[in-house]
Parts: sequence; structure tokens; C-alpha cells
Amino acid sequence: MSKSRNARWIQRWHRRLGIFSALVLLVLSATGLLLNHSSHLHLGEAKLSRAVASWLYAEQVPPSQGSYLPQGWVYQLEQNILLNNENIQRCESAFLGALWLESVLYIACEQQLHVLDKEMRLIESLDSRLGYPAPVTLIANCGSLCLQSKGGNWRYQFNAGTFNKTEEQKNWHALKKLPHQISASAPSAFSWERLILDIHAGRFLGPAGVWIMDFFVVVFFILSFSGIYLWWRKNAANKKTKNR
Amino acid sequence: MLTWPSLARSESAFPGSNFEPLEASLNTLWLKAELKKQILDSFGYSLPGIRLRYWRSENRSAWVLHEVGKEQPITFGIIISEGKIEQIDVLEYRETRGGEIQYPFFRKQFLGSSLAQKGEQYRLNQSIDGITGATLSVNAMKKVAKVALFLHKHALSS
Repeated sequence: MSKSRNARWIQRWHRRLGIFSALVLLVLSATGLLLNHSSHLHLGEAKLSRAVASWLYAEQVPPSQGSYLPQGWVYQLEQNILLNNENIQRCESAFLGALWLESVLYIACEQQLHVLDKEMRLIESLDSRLGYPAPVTLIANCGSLCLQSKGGNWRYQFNAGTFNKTEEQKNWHALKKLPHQISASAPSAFSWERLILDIHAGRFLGPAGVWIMDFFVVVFFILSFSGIYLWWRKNAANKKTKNR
Repeated sequence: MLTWPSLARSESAFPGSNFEPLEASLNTLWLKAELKKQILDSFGYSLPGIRLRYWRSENRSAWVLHEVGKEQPITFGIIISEGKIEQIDVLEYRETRGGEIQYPFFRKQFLGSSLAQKGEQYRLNQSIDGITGATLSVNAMKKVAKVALFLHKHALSS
């Protein structure tokens, strides 16, 4: 093959590969740009709806139980505690219920207690290190917050911040079934950042997607070298013409 | 006078650690807005609640503080005595990388450190060697060490 035929062949394939991979390059550029500014755009906190997450990822089990308060429904979704659709706290253990007592909101989980004021600002979070009698099994409204654990029943003294033993029998708080509109509109555990990252890495297309992306990376390498080669050849040819 | 057991019990709230301040000395520090702002401005550390529990016995205090390394919060236990770090432990490490900060060879660098102030800037008076691949966890530990020293000084003076 002569040099000019060789160049024409490279040019033809450079063009074909360029058109073939243009869409992937655009997707990678757009997703890369978004990921670079992920924290500013709050993509990590913004969650996909459960319907979208069920379609794109796995079937999303809707939350079924919660506590009803004057402010709305408090329930657990994975490790997050939500008030209606808003994330207000985090619990790594099972949610036992929420109580609204004297303008203080108590969110009790097996291993943790969150105490919030009426503006949903955290007053304190308590765990076993700070006297919370974990694992707690039940909570009750006894004028203040009462708890049941393996070691007995406890009354939380808000001002002192201590848990004192009590022998009183309580009406223990039971979680109620969430209304359909709340469970249906609950956000999923998947963030927009995760979705964009999966598109960027090719994981969106399953295990083969990563290899497909790798293939396009090789195509981009080839395009870069063929582009430089074609530019260099054209430049050399232009210089030759000028010198004549 | 409170004692500070040298070994954690099996049912300890601090499994795997010898950080075991006693419940009897539990105190409350109210976090006023100006104190929270000062800590945020001086150390870049955000205290989440309105009150913070700590243990105190004369000139010793113990603090449990959390700080995010890269993505997950790391829980630290720090004991301050006479304005110097007596003990620093990683109580819960949730990150996937950088766990080397839990090892005694790294933690012992902090022992005896106090808070030095230059203008508005606070720093530890001892230099701390970093660990390759654990920079963010190291920074988190340095930050909570400074915050604990600052809180100790504030708690003892108030």
C-alpha cells in the first residue's frame, strides 16, 4: 500500500470511528462534568424515586411502618430516618418509633436515641457510651420518654440527660402501617450520583458494560493517535506545497 | 476520685479498645452558637447538637467525637489530662481504607500533645507523621485531637 493510500485508509477509519464513538464521548463528557461538581449539585443527597430505582436497579421494598406525629409520618428507610419524605436523621439499627413530647422529638432506635427540638434541630444523639440502655426493645410515652431494654424499664430525664430505672408498666408504642401515599412516594436508597457514576463507568449496562467502556477507551486512544498522524501528514504536505 | 480501667470489659461500650471512662463522671457541655461558630471557624469542625456529653474527673476529661474521613464518620475517643492528650483511640472505623490510624504506632504520636495558638490559628505542639493512603483519616484524627483539647480548656474554664 502506498503512503497516500495508507493515509486515505487511516482518514476513512478515523472518520468512521469518530462518528461511531461520538455519542459515547458526549455521554462520558457530560457525566464526568456532573461528577466533578457532584457535591455542589448535591447529587449524592438527591435520591431517585422508588419507581425509577426499581426500573433501573433492583425491586425497592417500600417502607411499611412508622410513627404518626403532628408533623407527619416518621419511618426508617435503610439507615435513614425520614419525616414524610425528608431525611432528618440516621440510624444504623432498627427503628423503634418516634414520640413528640413537650416540643421535643425523640427518635428511638435499638442502639441510638436522637433528640430534636421543634425546628428539627438536633439537641443530642445518645448511644450506649452515653448511657442509652441499648439494645432498647420498646418505647413509651410516660409523661417523658420511657424505654424497655434487657436490663429493665428506664425513664429518660431530659434536663439531666440521664436514664433512670423505673418499675412502672407502660403502654408501649407500636409502629403503625404507613399510608399508601407515604410509602409510595418514599425516595429510594439510590442517589443520582450513583446513577451518573454507573453510566460513566458503564456498569449501567451490566457486567459487560465495563468491557464496552474499555473498548471505547481503546477507540479513543486510536482516534487520538490517528488524528495526530493525519494532522502531521497534512502539515508536512502543506509545507512541501509552500516550498515549491 | 474516678479510676480509668486499663482494659475494656467484654460487654464494654468500647469493644476492642481500652478507652473506658466511667459513667459516673458524665457531664454536659452546652454548645452555644458562638462556641459552635468558633470551633467551626478555627478547626473546620461542625458540632451537630446543642449539648455534648463528656466525662470529667478533676483536670481530666474524655470526649467522644466523630469526623468523616473520606466518606464515612470515624468515632474517636480522646482523654485529656492537664491540657495534654493522654489517650486517643479509634472507637469505630467505618471507612474501607486508611485503617492504619488505629494502630498504636500512629496514635502514640499524639500523646502529650497540647494546643498551641498562633493568632487565630490552632495547631498541635507536636508534629504528626502522616500515613500514605490514609491522609484523610490522619487529618480527621488531627482535627478531633485539636477540638478535644479546645473543648477540654473550655469545659474546665466554664
